[in-house]
Amino acid sequence: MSAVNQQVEASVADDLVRWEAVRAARRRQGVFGFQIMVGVTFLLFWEWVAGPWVDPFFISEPSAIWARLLQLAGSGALLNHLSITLYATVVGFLIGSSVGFGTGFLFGRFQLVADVFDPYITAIYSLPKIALAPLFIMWFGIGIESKIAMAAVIVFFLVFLNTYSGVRDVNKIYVDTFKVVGATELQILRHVVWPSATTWVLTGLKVSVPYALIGTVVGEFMSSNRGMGYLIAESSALFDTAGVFAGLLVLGVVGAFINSMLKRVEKRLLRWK
Amino acid sequence: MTIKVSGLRKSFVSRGKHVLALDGVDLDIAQGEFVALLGPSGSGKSTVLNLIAGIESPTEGRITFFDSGGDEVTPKLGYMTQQDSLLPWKTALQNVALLSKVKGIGAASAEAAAKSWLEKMGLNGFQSHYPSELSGGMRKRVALAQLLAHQPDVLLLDEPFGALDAQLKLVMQDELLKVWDADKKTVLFVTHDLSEALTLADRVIVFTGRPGKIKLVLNVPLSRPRNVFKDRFTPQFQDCYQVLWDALDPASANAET
Repeated sequence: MSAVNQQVEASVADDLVRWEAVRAARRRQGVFGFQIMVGVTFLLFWEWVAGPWVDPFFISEPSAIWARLLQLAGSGALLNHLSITLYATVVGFLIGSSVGFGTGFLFGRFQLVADVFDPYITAIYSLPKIALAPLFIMWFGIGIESKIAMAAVIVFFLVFLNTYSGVRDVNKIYVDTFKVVGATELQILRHVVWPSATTWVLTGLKVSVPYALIGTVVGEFMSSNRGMGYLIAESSALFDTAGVFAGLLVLGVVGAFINSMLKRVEKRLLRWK
Repeated sequence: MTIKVSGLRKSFVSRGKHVLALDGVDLDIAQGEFVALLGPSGSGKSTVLNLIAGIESPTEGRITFFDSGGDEVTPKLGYMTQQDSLLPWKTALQNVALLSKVKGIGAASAEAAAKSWLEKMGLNGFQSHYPSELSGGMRKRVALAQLLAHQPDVLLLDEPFGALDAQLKLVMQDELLKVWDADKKTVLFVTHDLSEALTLADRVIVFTGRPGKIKLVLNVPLSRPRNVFKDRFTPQFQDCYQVLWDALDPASANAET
């Protein structure tokens, strides 16, 4: 009898689990539906307002932006500009994050180094990095190098500071437990310090990706002849509002895509949380 | 493994003031002995443990370890504290196996040992859970498995069950005594809980408040194996409890009532 009872209980529990899953799925679908609705309403409103109410010179209109976007994509110009911007962003990110990570780790492990360099790091950190753009253009020219430098500097500080905090933040009890067992410094680094710092480092990396894009685009605004920043600035100079919006739209989509990828990677690496 | 502690002093500077934490501690601990270090907070009992563990170094004095032949040796130590020492980014099994691997035991045998210890602790089916997915009591069991899996000769325990609720504390004490009965390792157990000290230890060392000194050594007359749940109601236990209570600093005793 009790076996039967247990079976009944188990199937009731299964039903509950299934019902919860169905509810969650329904809610997701509902939210998604509303999201679409908000977007469509906004676009319709924009299309309607442009012309009779607001001069399209300032806000263009969704249909014109879409047409301009297709035209840019069709001519291959969009891909050309976008690839330049992404290339500078990625290379700048790689350089900035690896140097930032190395320096952060070094400073975290060697207190004396950190103490000596602290005021200088703070001073440079407090500087708006964007203000360095003119300098980089002088140093590296108006080509892609100055944009890479721009992105790299911004990324460097974010990753550096996070790595440094991460390495300093290691729980002493973990280190002690390993020391008592007779672990070597290298083993402690590998099993305790490094994984413990990962959370911080990942946060730094995640935050810095959008900033790398900002650095590149700002560099392109200042002076360049290619890239998304150039496309937007150039469209603006020609009073091509639709072109400006088309450029912004592409940047927005790219940024959102990068962010969602990062979220996925982070979720995987920080499974244990 | 026997331990000889002689003339141990430890002082440090805190907020510009010189603080004497330990003032001359002598202690001989025999192979397989279960010793409890009891005292009010700030009495330096944890300091003694950390000095023996090698986490801190003494200002004066010596700590030496001898094997059964009387030769001086470097000990294999195990260390467990009230705070969780389980790495949150490793699963239960990985956590238990890791310390063995660090000590140079091959991955396969380290994992096999880890598995069997987790089984002994009743944690079948939780091997691949992360610490955050386990309850407080389960985490303590994993920590205990971690402590024992790498085969230390001496167990250094710093209020390991301090943060547990009263009932779970007894259950964990029972677990500890069971594994200790099996192979009689040398144990140093820091606690401020009188009952815990009496229930577990062969010998209770009572410390005074700062600067820490040994005030009283009590040989616990209770027979082995102990019954964690019932021994506390015996008259012998009550007598010992009274002795320890009287020995503890009157000031802190007053503060606790």
